[in-house]
Amino acid sequence: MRLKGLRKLFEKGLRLWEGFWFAPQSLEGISLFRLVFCSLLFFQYSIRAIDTKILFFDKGLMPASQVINFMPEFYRPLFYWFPREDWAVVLITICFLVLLLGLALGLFSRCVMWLVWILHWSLLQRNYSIIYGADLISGFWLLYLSLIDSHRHFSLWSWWKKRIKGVREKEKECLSSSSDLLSSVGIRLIQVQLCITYAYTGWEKLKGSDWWEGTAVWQILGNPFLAPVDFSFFSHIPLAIVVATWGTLIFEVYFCVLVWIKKIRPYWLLLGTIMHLSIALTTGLYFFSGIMIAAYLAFLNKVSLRATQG
Amino acid sequence: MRPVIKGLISAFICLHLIAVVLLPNPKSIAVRSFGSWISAYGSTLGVNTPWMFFSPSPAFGQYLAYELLEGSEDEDRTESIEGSHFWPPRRGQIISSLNRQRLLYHSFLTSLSPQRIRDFLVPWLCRLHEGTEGISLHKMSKSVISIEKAQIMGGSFENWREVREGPASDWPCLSSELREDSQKQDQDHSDRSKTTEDMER
Repeated sequence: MRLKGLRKLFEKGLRLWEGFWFAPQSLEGISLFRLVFCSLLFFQYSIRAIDTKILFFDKGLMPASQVINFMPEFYRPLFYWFPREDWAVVLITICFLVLLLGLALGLFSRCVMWLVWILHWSLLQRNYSIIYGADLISGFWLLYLSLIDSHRHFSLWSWWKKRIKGVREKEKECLSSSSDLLSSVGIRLIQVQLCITYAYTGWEKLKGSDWWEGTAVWQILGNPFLAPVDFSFFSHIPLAIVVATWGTLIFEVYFCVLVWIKKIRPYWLLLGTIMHLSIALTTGLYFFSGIMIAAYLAFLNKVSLRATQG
Repeated sequence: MRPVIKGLISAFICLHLIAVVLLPNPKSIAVRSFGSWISAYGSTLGVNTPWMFFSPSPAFGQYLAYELLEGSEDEDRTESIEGSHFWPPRRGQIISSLNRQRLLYHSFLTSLSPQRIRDFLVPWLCRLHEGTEGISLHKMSKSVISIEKAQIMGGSFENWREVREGPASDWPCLSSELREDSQKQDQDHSDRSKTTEDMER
C-alpha cells in the first residue's frame, strides 16, 4: 500500500519535472531576446574595442604573464584559452563582433552561439579585473542560448525562408513551431538563473545596514565614480530614496517566487524594468540594465507577445 | 531513445543547478564538501559567480592619489617630482566615455589588496608614466554624509563627501623580470609555509 503511494508520488514528481523542463514552448519570446541581447552585447563590445589597447594589450592594465596570478584560486578555470599576443586579441575581437552581429540578425544557428561563448570568455580571461555584472550575466545567457533554437523568429533566416516558401506556408510553420527538448531546457535555465541571481543579490543586501536603514540608494547616488550627473536634489525628497532602496530589496528577494504566479508576473516584470531603467540612469550601467531587462523576454509566451502587439 | 536522452539531460540539469545554486556561496559547508569537482565545473563554465550587486552595502567611492618619484643617487631616498595624479582618472582627464570609466573603476576596485597593488596597480602606473623610478600612493575614500546632515548643510554632493586619506606608501618601479622574480619568491615562501602547516597538523 505504502509502496504504491510512493510510486504514485514519484510518478507525479516525474511528470512535473518533465512538464517543467521538457514541455514544448513558443520560440517567439526567446527569439526576440536573442535579437535584443546579441545587439546589446555587440554595442557593448564595439565600444570596449576602442579601449582594446588599455584593457587587453600586454602594455595595458594586465600583462599576459600576470593574468593567472590575478585570478583568485576559487575562480581559476580548468583550462585557459585567453589570447597571449596582442594581434590575437585583435583577431578574436573582430571575429567575436562579426559573429555576434550575425547572431543578432539571426543568420547563424545555436552552434555558433557556443563559439561566441568561447570567444567571450577568452576575452574575459585575458583581463579578469574588468569583469563586472554585465559580462558575467552575458556569459550565462550565451551559454543557455547555445542550447536554444533561437533564430526561428525575428531573424534574416526566417525572412529568407518566408520569401522562398511563401507567406502562407511560413505562417503555418510559425504557428506550429515550438521548441525541441534542448530549447525548452535552455529557456527554463534562463528563467531559473534570473531567479537565482535576484535571490542571491537580494539576500546579500539583507546583510547590509544601509539597505535596512533605507539609505543605500543615497550612498550610490553620492558615489562620484558611479553617478553620471549630480543627483543632489534627492536630498529634498528622502522618501524617494527610501522607496527606491526598500523597493529594490523587496523586488529582488521575492522575484524567485512571484514571477511564477501568472497573474502577478507581468506586474513584477514591469517593476523590474522600472528598477533597471533607474539603475541605468543613476549609475550609468546601461548595458547591464539592458541585458537584464532583455532576459525578461524569456518569460513571455506567444499569447503575451501577441497581446503587446495588439 | 527519447527517455534515455531525457535522462541524460536531466542529469546535466541537476549537476548544473547544484553548481549555480551552491557556488555563489563559496564559504558554505556544502561547497567545502563538494568543493573540487563542482568548482572545477563552475569555474570552467564561468558560472561560479557571487551575486553581490551593491551588497552587503554599497561601496564608498575610492581612488588613488599618487605622485611620481625620482631616485636620488646621493641619498637613499626618493623625491616627488610632480603633483598628485589620480587613478582611476577623473572625468575629463583621460576619460571620455562613461563605459571606460566604469571599467577602469571596476578594475581598480578589484586590485586594492596589498598584493595586487604591488603586482598590478603599481606596475601599471609605472608603465603609464614611463621613465619614473617610483610611485608614492595614498588610498583615498569618499563617503557621503547622511541625508539629514545634507539637508541642514545645503549645497550639493560636492560638499557632502567626507574624504579620508590612507597612509602613504612608496613603491619602486621594477623591471618586469625583477617583479616576476619577487612574485616567485613570494609563491615559494607561501608554499613552504603551507607545507610546514600541513606537517604540523
